[in-house]
Amino acid sequence: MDGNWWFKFGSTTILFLVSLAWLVWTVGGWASPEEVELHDAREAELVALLNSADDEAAKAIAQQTLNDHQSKPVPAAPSWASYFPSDKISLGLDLQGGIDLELQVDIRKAVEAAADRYSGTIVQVLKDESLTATAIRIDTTADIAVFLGDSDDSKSRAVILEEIPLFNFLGVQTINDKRALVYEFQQDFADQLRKTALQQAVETIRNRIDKFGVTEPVILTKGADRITVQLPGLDDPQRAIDLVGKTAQLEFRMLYEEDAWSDQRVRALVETAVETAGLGENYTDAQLKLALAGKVPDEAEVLFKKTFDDLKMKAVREQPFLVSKKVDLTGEFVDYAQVAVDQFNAPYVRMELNSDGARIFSKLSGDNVGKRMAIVLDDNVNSAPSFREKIPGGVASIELGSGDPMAVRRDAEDLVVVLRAGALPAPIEILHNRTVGKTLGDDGIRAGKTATAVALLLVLGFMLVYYRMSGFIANLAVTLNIAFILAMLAGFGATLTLPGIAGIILTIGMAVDANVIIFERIREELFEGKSVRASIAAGYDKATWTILDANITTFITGAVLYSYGSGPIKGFAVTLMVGIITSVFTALVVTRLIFDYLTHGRGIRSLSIGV
Amino acid sequence: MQFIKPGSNYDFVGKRRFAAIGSAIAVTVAFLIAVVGSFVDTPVSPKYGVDFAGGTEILIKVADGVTIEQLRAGLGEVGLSDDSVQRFGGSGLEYKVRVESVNYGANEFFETVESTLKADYGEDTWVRFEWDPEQSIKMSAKATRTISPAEVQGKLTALNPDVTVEESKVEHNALIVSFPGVTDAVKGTLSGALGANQFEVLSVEMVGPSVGAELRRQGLLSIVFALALILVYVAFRFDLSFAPGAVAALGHDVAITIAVFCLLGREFTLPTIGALLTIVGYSLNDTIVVYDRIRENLIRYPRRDLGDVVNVSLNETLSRTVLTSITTLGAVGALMAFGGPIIADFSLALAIGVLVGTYSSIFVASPMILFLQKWLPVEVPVLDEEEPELRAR
Repeated sequence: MDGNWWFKFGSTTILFLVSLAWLVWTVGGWASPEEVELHDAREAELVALLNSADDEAAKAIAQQTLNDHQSKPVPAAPSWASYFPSDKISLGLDLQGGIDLELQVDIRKAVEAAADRYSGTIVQVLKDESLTATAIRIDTTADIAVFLGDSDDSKSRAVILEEIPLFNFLGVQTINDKRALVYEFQQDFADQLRKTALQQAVETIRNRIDKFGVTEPVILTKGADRITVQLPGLDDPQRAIDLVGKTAQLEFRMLYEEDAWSDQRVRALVETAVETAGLGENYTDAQLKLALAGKVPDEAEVLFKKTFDDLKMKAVREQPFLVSKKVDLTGEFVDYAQVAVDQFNAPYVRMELNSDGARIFSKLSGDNVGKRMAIVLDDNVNSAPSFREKIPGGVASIELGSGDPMAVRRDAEDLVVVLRAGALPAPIEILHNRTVGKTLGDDGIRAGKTATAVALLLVLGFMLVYYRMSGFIANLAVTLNIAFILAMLAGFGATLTLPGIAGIILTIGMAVDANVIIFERIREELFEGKSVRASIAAGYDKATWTILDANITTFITGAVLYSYGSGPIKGFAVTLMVGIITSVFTALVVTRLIFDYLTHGRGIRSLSIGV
Repeated sequence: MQFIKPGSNYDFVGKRRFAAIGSAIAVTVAFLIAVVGSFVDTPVSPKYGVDFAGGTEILIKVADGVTIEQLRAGLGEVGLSDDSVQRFGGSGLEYKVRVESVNYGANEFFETVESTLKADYGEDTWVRFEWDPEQSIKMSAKATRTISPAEVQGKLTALNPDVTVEESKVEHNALIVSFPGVTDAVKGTLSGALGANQFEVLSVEMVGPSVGAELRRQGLLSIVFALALILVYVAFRFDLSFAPGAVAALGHDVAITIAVFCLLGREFTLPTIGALLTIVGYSLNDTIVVYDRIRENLIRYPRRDLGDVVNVSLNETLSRTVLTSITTLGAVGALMAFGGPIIADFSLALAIGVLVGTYSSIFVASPMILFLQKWLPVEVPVLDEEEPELRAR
């Protein structure tokens, strides 16, 4: 046994042990720390709901929900388990039950709505230069037709170009028997409009779902106008559709008696309350509300400005505000919001209110000069700008400070998304809704386990009968292979779906193929009269490229499938690809190790390969 | 144990004309079934699952003793035809309810709502009623004055107890009326016909019509894309003359699997596309092993006739081809027998594919090289490492 062999043996053994370590939590079935956290948080929310229930009926429902929740405790991990990685293979929605939605945001509508607004703006800028004109959006397009009447053609064009540099001039057309200048948005601007519409939809949905307390929701954008939403554990599609289909609630509320309640005081209040209640670092809004009960005035509540931590995939509380419970204005009064730039090139947000909104806003700002107003979207504070003066005309500019221009611009864009969330719901259409009940999921898991066991028994039994001792070695490799596949899935935090299980089963059948190729080669070499040792060496050498070629091509189809498929089918492609990698490794390296040990280490002269 | 003894010498190449005729007929028939069947409605036309065709599919499990006639009677009350219920799975208690559109019954409902509201409030009160007949489950009703949603909801509950009415967030004086949806309608009528505890909804899948068409197109494209990539890989690793054979064999397998699926009346779903791509991978695996041997033997026997070389190679790899088919079929068989109803069609497609794929790697892929000799002659590869080199340092 040379050093090379020991090195390979050592690495394989270590790899195997590491794989097993990665499977500890999956096999144990314990809840990961994140899951425990989520479970506790949900419990606190339900307790808060129970405590705040007004009448007997609401109390009964809250109690029922809480009991349901408590009857399903998360399995706690023993203390020694913390020495192992807590990554687990998670079950797909088709196995654990839940709702999978694919939504399409009608971003075309967002551009059309912008065209509607800008037709008004064009008429306005022309009027400022004493040019009379009318403008409309051309039906079913986002193009704007400007009817000039007697106004001067070239002067009008120059004014529009100068004042609103967002358009491409498409030429002069006759529309409804009248001459019209036709404009379209420049590509960049239209793209920006579409992007904002999608972002805004995601924001809205995330807010809704966070509020709803779904344990591990997944919300992702897909392509230019799609959103994928996965809600494990829910089984009422109508409720889910209501949840994501509704518009977010945008509110404008004054901060509560700022002179008495400074930012520092509010912050200190929250910190003390968190400490006294022993909430630790991760607590829910509902838990905090309980802890703060009696410590804040009845007419006010503590709301947070939150940022979304992309790494931890969760919202982080940044700053608490004591906000008055009185809602002064809601999103319905906002007509439009956009990012604009002032004469010093600093970005700010321009917000336009409708006529009712303008009236309310005028009085609100007049009464509260110097005070701050919180912009609240679904109970989260986006920002709290202060009124510098009375704002009479229904058009407000919100300045976001003079920091790093890039950061200010990003903040401005975020604020626009928030302001429009209440004002302009881009229509969301549900393209695909797959709801799987718990029973079907459980059936799937059971069927998957049985099928895997039977497939293993058949394949391993066949190999043993056909190839005897060598078959046994191949079987070791297949078993190891399954451990590797599962460990890799756990390590990547991959999701196991029913087709994914099918992929593993298929891999069992196909994984022995590499060994079959090798063994058949070895048999051929033995048949030609070569020694055992030479036959094994030749068998492996000649089979290596065949195996690689065959598996690379299969891998290509796996990759195509991965990029095409969605949901469960993606799970199948992942297990198939992972299985190909691990089976090539076990067949070429692991079985070789054992054969080399037998021929070199033990010096055997005859090979049990079923001939 | 040995199924195929070493030194076997079956004359595969000699029978290639029979095989070619057989395969050509099979592929033509398959093509006719798939393509003609798509345009003309025949009993063997391709049937698409809900993910490709759009609509709603509800899987339910009924209690012992509930008959399909009872189900049909219940669903008939909401206007669903007898064909919309099908048994699936082996237990005899699971049924599939298929509804063509996602907003089944919504149009009629909205029309009734429109006439009801016009009658109750007067025609002049309403500016317009709007919904998309293809897929809307919500309608908007714009009035000349503010009307309380609760009041309207009160009037509409007589039509359907689950209807909801709310104020529009975007328009003044507009109301949004939501149709309760197919799932609720099906649940409601079955509760009435069977009793609420006599059935359980296992899963619901709703797909908009535009997605179905898009998925179908993408599915087809993905298979074509996979074949193109494989063509490139094989041409690069082996020889250009080998590539068409490999791709022909794969196309052959996919076409025949699709046709068998049509003949058996099975539905095409997303997992079926997954199975077809897997078949492509599997069949290719087989073909590559044979090609590898042909390439090796071309070097080994440079003077022998190409047909001989191909035949010898096929024989040498025959044992492996058969064995791998056995183990894979064993695994797929286990999946078919025990994997449950949800992936039954998926495993069936795999099983068909493995059988056809084994055949095609022997009778389609390799003989194709001989057939193409005239246009794409095989270049005998030379292994460079066997030639000693002398170089000046």
